[in-house]
Amino acid sequence: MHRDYKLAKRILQGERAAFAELVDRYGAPIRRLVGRYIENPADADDVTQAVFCDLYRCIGQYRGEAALTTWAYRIAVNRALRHCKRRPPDCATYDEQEIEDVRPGTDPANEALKGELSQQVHSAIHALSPPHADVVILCELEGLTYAECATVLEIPVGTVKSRLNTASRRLRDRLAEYVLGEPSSAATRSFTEVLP
Amino acid sequence: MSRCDRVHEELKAYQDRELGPLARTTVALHLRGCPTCREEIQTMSRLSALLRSQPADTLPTALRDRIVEAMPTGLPDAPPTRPRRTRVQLLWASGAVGVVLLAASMPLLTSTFSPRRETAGLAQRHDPSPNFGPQSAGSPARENVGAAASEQTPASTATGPVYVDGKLSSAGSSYTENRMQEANGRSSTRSSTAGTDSYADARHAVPAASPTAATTPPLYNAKKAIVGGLASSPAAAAFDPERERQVHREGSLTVQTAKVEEASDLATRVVRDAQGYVAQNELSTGDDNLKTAILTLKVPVSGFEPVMAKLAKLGSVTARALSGEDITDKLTDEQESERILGEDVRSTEASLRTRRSAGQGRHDEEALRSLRIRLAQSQARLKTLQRLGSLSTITLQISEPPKPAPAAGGLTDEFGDTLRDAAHSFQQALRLPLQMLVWVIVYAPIWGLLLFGYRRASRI
Repeated sequence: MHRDYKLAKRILQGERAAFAELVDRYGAPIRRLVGRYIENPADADDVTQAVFCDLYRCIGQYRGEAALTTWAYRIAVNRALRHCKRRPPDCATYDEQEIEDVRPGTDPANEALKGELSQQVHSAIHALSPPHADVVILCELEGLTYAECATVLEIPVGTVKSRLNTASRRLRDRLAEYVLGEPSSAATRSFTEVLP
Repeated sequence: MSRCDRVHEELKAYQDRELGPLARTTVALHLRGCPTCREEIQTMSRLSALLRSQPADTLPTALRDRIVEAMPTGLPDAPPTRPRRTRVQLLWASGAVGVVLLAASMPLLTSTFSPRRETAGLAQRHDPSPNFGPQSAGSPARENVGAAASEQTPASTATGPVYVDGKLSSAGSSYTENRMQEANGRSSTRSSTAGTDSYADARHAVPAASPTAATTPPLYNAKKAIVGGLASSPAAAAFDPERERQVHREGSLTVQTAKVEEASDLATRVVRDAQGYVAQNELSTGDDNLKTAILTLKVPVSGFEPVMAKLAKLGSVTARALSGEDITDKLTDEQESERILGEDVRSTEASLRTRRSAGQGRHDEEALRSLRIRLAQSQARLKTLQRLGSLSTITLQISEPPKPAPAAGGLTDEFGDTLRDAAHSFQQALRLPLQMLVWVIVYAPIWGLLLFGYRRASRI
């Protein structure tokens, strides 16, 4: 936390290298978090950039009381939600969709299964109500503690706990074929192969 | 709601290691005996593994460069000069400084301007013992006061706090207590006579027409005014920790007793007597045939320690844990937040009325709705905090002591073992001759025939 505070002070003095360090340190998690909310990659990139602009502008308000990630996540979540509210999720055009090259040395079938699994998880999370989806994204996918999640979403820790519990049950029902290990589904077999 | 239903609500937090030690132990105990919940938690673990197996992206270099290049020009906004939280902290700090200054100035004021010094003579003026600080009740200062002082109540017999075994004794703490009582605007319950030995008493006892009023120096009156003013100031009033601080307390107690049900009933009665209630009660018998009762008790904060003391008498205490969280800051922040949000809501409503008449105001309506939601959330948080501050939680575990195992070792056992070994060895030694005897008996006809043939042969 002290390291974050020092970095914030350097940015406050207008040090460009410090800002680059901030981007290097938190760019990937923030982009990933934004990507959880915004499906369109181009939009997610724009929002990530806007988040860093906000971070730069408001860095003076950071007092080092919490981790900078928590603070940055709060800004990112607010930005992403505002974006979703302003522009409802639409289908990405063909040329906007990223077609990832298959990396050499990887099994294309396994990669495809991973992609399918990821899609299923993504759909299941987005089928939840927004408050429940928020806690799942932050706690389960981003690995935040309940207290950090409560800070980011500005809700009590008890609410995080109850929402996560409810969301967990709903997700279990939606992803039953992967989670309950029913042998009937081909996806179950793929899940066991894909999981590390 | 069944026990499983209650535990189900905690299972996710248990799996994420987000439960406190007490709740964690409770869930772990339940899981040991409930296959359904064990199955549930395994499913949750699989779900978490599935969710966390999602690939971790890295920031594309192009995007990274784009963000860095798009770094806004100019310096970031300077930090706010007077954030609300800082103001609250400043208020507390100024209150604390005021109290410290008041406390520090007391001995000086008392030693210089005390009415006792005016009446006690020169001997008192040269008394080297300080009036504030560790001092015995029978110090020279006390003895020189005279007959009037000797009639006073015990609380007023010392001018400073008396330390007994390193602790402030109740009788000797009159000075501090008086200062706090004055600061809190409470009336002193003592009756004092003229010529009392402490400033606090003089302040209460000196009426306008009293004999000492004529001899009271002007500076003494000035001091009275200063202290009186300080006593009524908000900083001094904010000093009372009992009134102002809100502390949520939690405790856990593990007690061993042979009569678990009886102890559980007694604990319930103790809690009810203290105006509390039993939030949860579970009685189970383990694999080792030992009964265990786990009770979650809610008691008012004021009754926390007496209840803990009474519960400790239910049996022999094997574990005890206490924790407390000062939620005053949170409460103050929440109250302030609620107040500001309320003001915002009112001003937005007023603005909305004006704009509506002008045919505008859609934006204000949205802002008002958002503000109302935030206000309601703030009020809910405040209510929760207030409830937390008024009730404390005690987790009581009552268990039967383990059954005593038969004592091992000792001379008798060794002797018995030796005897058993000897008998075994003797049995082994006897085995061969006995077997041979059996053989001889079983083959007796053959031996008989052989003997008969031998005799016939020898006769011939």
